Amino acid sequence: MNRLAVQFEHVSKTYRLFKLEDISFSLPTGSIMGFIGTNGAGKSTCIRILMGLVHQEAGHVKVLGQPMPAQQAKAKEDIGFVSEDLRLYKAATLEWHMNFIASIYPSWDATYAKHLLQSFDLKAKQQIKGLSHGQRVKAALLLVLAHRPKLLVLDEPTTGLDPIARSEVLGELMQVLTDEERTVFFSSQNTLDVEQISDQITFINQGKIIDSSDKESYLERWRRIQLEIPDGTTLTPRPEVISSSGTGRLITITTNQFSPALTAAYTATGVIIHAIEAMTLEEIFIANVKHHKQAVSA
Amino acid sequence: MNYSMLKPLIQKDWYLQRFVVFGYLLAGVVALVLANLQNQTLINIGNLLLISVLIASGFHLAVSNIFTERNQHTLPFVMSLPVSVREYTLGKILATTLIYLVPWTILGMAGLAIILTRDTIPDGLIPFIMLILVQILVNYCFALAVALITESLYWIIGAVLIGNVSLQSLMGFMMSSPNIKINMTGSSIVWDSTTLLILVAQFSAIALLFGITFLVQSKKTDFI
Repeated sequence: MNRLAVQFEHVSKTYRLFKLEDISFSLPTGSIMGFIGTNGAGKSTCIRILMGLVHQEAGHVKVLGQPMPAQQAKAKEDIGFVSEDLRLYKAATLEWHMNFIASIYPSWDATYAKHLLQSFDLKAKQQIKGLSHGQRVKAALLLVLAHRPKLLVLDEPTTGLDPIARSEVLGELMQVLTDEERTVFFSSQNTLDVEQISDQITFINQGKIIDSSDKESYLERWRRIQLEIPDGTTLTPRPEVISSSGTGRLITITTNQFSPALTAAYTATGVIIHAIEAMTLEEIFIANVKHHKQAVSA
Repeated sequence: MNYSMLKPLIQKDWYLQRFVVFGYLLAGVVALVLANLQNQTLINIGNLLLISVLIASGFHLAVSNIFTERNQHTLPFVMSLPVSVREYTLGKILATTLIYLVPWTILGMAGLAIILTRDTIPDGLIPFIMLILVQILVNYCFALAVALITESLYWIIGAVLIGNVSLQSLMGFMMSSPNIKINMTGSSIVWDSTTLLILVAQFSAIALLFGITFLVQSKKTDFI
């Protein structure tokens, strides 16, 4: 069995005003990757390449062991895809959509579909045009979850949802993720959603992957440290520190390679450490993007 | 190619377009009733309405079954299914054409049946009417090809305009062709060489249009 559900190797794609450059990452089977980036960062382009709908100009993509885009039809037999801009047929009912999907996927689980109808509070007989945005997202999610795909590709599925709908969608996703063979690729601007369900996180900015690691590693590596520099002491620049702010005696530094050795090194030079703060994923993302921009402009 | 996906794709399009087809069939029946009356003005209106129904239904299907798929963002849903761009293209060509052939065949055959059963209309008109019917089919195929390749409403409208000009030109040519003109008024059906040559050219055009559509679609690197 192929242990990598998704594999991007040096993938590039150029548009007139945007370039996806040398994208490489892999997603082991059974893992959940949160793909975080701002608007226009390249998330949707990566997902379209992953689905075989946009062809990369350079590099290789394999999804569930199938080369993309050549074997997209074969790969999509085991993929469930929901994106923010995906719509169902307005004139048809949800029941018609369910029958349509059931006629395509032999793996369609009617009992699970019924369960999802109840937990998402949807009515099968209702026409799609009568559904709210949140209900439409839940309906699309129901259609992909009930055919039990090996790989779930979710492109900003929680965008525009109210807090209740978001909680219901994330709750159902968390249930789905208990299946250890199910792989999820989840793109979002909302770091809070990603933090809740992902075990791997990749940051993309301006068409480039700027960091990719498991969630725990991010949360352990990134710290904000408040320092006091006594008179006569100087703060030596350190490679682990990616940014610093403040003037005079009080300085706050941000590190992406936190370790007890770092604090010990500061203490040894006479610097007083006032606080060591853990960072949220959102703060890590913002600090990472800023650091990347500075590195590019330097 | 995953041919097993073609059936659900065709069934889906039939389900979504069924009211369009029934609407045009109804309008076509009205046209046939008018064309069968004794009043010459009403007969002319009926004939014009019948041709208009066949042209408009082709345009309508090209727009509602292809352009609307992208315009209303249902294309990502279809392309999330286990289909490639080639299968999607084949599915759309087959589905849209089969759907279009329902009013085209029923109304076209009914029109021909009227000619054959009415003593006042010469049977020699049959080849002429067949050429017009097939040309309308060619024009539909042209609009479909343009719709699939460009997915632009403006280009589809342009294709329909070109199609209508070609239909008028063909009618003008047939009226000026001595062989066709003589046979049209005759009591027997004559398939002369000019008529047969035009028919071959029309069916070749259909094959060419679908071939070009497949070629262009398979070269696309950005489908969504």
